[in-house]
Amino acid sequence: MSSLKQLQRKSAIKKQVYKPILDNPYTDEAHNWPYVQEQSLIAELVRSHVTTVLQQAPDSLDVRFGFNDVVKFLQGSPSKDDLVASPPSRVFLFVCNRDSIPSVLLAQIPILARVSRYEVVLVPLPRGFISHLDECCPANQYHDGMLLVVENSNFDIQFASQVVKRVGHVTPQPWLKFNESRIAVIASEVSLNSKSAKSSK
Amino acid sequence: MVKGTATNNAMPARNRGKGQNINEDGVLIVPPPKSVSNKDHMQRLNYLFQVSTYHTMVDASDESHALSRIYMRNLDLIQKKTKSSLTPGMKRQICKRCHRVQIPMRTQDISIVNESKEQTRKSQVLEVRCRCGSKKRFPFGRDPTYKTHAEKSSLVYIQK
Repeated sequence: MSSLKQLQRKSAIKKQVYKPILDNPYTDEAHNWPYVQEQSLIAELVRSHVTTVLQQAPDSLDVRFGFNDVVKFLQGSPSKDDLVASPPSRVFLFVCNRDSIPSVLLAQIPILARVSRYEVVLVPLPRGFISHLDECCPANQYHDGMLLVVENSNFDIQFASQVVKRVGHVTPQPWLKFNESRIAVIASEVSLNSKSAKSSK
Repeated sequence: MVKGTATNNAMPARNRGKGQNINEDGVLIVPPPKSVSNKDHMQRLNYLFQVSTYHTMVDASDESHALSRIYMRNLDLIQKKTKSSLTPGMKRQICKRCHRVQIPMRTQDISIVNESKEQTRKSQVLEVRCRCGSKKRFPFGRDPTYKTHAEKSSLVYIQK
């Protein structure tokens, strides 16, 4: 025995159609964010060498939390003292890009890391790591899933080399190389019954 | 009447006698096409976008970005004339007023602003300011889980 609803569904009311759409050639997920080998190991290293350290001694590392502070730091230039004493310092930018961070916030971060005057090591963190950032972030600040650590004398060199070794290489200047067009199709529905479509209007 | 479907592919579809797949909502499921009709227009738009970005990045001394803006204006006109669609991620990189490509440190300033008295998280707005003075505001604080239609329904890329 079939219900009225089931009887109605026997014939198709709508049809699936595909519409062509052009995607941004520079925001290819595979080439924009570096590939991290042994993600669980990197997450454990970041937890033990950065977030736990910040929880116990917040002033021990030179860090920036949140979108505004990170962007402001990356857009600025290394101070004159830094340039005289040593070459421009390296910074590590840890981003929880797999957690529920709005995509509009994350869209410009890989490009900013490339155009910044600092040498930026972009490290995407695995899903769920945002809870560790919640624990070490100061109470009056939002971290927005981003943590920037400046490599200075207090920073563990062994940890830095371990991270750099496992973070994959990304194209430093993708605009110098022509990319093939990324044409895709997106699924939509269109009504099959033209009479019902007209009457609904 | 056209309506977006994000989860149609995941819905169980029934096989009809003549090989038709109809899902629970009465939607006839069709496999994605292997090629698209206006591919040459898309390729032209892609080329214009890249050449515009190249000129913005290479000519750092050029404040007006005149050449880059001409290419981007061409892209905008061709896109409208040919009725081609661009993803929101691509559209957001173009200034609607001056047609500059939006690149941090070169043509845009980005920051999160919060104009509410209580400074609640709900009132956070991402503000993108172009060199020309125009602003794009994204109130992501209202719904941090918001995704565009293109992000929700996975795009099927046409193989070359």
